Amino acid sequence: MAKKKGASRQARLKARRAAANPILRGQEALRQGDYDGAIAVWEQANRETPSARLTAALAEVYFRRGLARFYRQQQQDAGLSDLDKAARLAPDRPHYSYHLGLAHHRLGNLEIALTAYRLALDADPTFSRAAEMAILSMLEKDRNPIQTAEWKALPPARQAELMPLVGLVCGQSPAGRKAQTGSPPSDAGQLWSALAALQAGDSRARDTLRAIAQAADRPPPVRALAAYALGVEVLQQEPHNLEAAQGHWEAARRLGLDTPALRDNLKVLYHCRAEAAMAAARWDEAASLADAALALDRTGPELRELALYAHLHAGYAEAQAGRWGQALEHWRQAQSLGENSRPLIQNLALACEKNGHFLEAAGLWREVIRRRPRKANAADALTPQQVALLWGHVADCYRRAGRAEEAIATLRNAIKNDPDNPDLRLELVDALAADGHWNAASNEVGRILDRQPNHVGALVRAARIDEGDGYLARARKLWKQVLTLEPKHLEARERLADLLRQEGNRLAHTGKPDQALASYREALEYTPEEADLILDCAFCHFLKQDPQAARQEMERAFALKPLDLDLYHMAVDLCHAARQPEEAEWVIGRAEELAGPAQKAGHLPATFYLGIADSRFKRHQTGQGEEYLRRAEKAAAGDPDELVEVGSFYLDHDNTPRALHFFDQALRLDPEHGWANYHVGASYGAAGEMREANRYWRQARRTARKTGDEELLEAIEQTRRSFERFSELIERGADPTSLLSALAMYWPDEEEEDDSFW
Amino acid sequence: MTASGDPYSVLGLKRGASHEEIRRAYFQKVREHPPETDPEAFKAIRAAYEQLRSAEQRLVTDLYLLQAPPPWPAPARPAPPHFDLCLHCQELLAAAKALTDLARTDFRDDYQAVHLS
Repeated sequence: MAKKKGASRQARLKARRAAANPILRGQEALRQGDYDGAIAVWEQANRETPSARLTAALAEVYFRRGLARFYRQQQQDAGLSDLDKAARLAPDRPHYSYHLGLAHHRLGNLEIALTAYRLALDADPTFSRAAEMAILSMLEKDRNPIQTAEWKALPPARQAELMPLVGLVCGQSPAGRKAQTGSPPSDAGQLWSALAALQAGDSRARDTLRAIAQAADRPPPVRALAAYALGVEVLQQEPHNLEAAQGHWEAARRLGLDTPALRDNLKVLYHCRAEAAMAAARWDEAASLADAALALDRTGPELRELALYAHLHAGYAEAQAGRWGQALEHWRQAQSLGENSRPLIQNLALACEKNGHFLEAAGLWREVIRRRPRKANAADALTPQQVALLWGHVADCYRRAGRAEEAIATLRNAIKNDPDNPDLRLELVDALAADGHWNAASNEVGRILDRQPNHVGALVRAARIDEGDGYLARARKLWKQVLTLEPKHLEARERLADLLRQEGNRLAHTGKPDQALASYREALEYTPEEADLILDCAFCHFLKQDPQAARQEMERAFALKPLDLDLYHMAVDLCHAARQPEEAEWVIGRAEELAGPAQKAGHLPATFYLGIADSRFKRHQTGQGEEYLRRAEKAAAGDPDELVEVGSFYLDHDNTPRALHFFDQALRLDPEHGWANYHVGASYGAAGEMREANRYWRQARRTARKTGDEELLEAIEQTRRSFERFSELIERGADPTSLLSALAMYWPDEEEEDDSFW
Repeated sequence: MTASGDPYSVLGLKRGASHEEIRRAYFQKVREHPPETDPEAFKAIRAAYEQLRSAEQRLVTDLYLLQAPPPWPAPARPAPPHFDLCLHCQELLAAAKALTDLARTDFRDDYQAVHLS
């Protein structure tokens, strides 16, 4: 216990002594990077008890602080001051003067830098770094360094390496010593020699420079200058080889060379090549080159004009090729170059729409309208109808951008400026209707019809609105009015026919076949080739106990669409609905005669009979349903696809054993049949035999991939997952509801088909 | 058919062509690209004609046409490019400086150890 106490007391004493000792305090501060602290303590100590060692230590701290301030803290003046202090405190250490020179050199103070380098050399004549930097600063001041003391301070090998550089900079061929044999030249040395040789016309230097430019292990500045020189040399030898020069100069830029000469040369080159590309109608290339030139210098008006035209043409070419994204980019560039003409705005509007930028497109179309020529006889003047159409288009763009209210507001404003333009009002009606403002739409239509009672567009909208509101008699009257004005108006004819058909259906359903027939016949006046309507007439004849007349009508319908199996199906259904089974047979006979030969198997397909069977089952006419099912099975014999259809029918009607019978038949004929394999697999899955199930599904998957049947692939995946989930739940002892949900999730109900009128 | 949908280009017509010119161009194109031998081209030609056959349809079609850019006023005799093919001191010295300590900012290897105790 006593020993422990003693040890800790010693430590405390030591710490106290250390705290009292300024040397140690300064060292600790230096160790922690606290230069200010170290300097403060040691300056104090040095004032009290000057010592050479402490002075040297202070110099080092000032040196380090100076470097930190100058390079890391952007305190250049304070950094210079510290470096100067270090150099004064320890003039015998060349590094301090050297770095002082380096800092001034970086700031462009070449004379002060040179003085500092010389001081470093005074402290150590062999400090070659200072000698080289001194030589460099002389060269920057256009002074030839040969014959100077600094040059003599360089090792001979280094002198030989720098000699070509001096020659290039000073424009002379200085006589110099050769490089010492045995010592390989540095990267820079090779470069200067190669450049000097190239200048002197030695074409072998080209290969040396190429090797330097491409050598990944060389310093980038060396490679950059080599690349630049290669570009210069190419144009000196081949003035038209702009592409090669471009390659070299771009490489120089990528490697970091960024001098005014390089920038100017590249700009001239790009400009020249852009002009050539424009002349050859290579618009995209011209635009890229012009942009590259502008990136170097945006001020030249000729260049800006060239770039503008290039982008306009390139955009047009891209749009013509359907590449609207690229077109938009080009035209935006043209806009950024100051082009704002109406044709460009229109093109931009088109491109924005094609790219889905509907809000922007709306704004641009508004600009197109705003800038239209006001004089009617101007070349690109717009008629009031075109103006209305454009406003409608603006509104449509707003709608597609999700701004329905803005669409309506736009049109209202447009109407304020042109209240007598009915087409504009029509656009507003459409906008209001599209947004569900039916009353407002109706009012607007009324305003048009008040002024122009026979305006077809307004009448059409009014009729649509009345139909939507359930005013069918009024709607019919309006459609008829439209047809009086435009007998061939397609929508009016179709809508009238539909309304009359609905009326006919109602009358037939309420036991008024004569009146129903009259309505159908009137409907046929508007759509004479509507075969379904003719069948409606046939049904009326059945209701009137006139099967012969019914048959005549059915023949008329079949003559219109002899190959339409759905039509025959409808006819069979209506015969059964009229309790005329022998007429149904007659229809099937006609179907066989007229449509059978054109089918794949040369006779009516199984699906035809399956459809009729389904209708019979839905109407609880099981006997008839079974009869048609037999016919379907007979028709399917020998055709795997049809057999699968029959099997699927049985599946839908919960007769799995019978379904499997047909799937097996299909597989016997075609073992690779995708859907047959799928269904058999599903049946095994339902029985818990997943191994077998997966075997069949693997085959089904192979077939689906071969035939590109995405639907089958998805069905396999969903069913497989469903069964896996089902098995999981069973293992976990899930309740029946969860089990049913799991199955239902992967077997969504199919949509019910629309029942026919009968 | 151009993917931009310009019916005039499809029929080989200038903008503002008359109704008669449009008709003539259509029949000419159909003769050149009959549906039996070139169904895709025929479809495009037919679609283009539908956009121009009636005055009303033309009204709408003309409204949303791509606007052709003005022709580039190429210089009659382009001036030969003037390059500066000298190696300037600036390039040389820029490379030279980049190989010296002027390209560095970390000089911890020039620190000297401090011995005071």
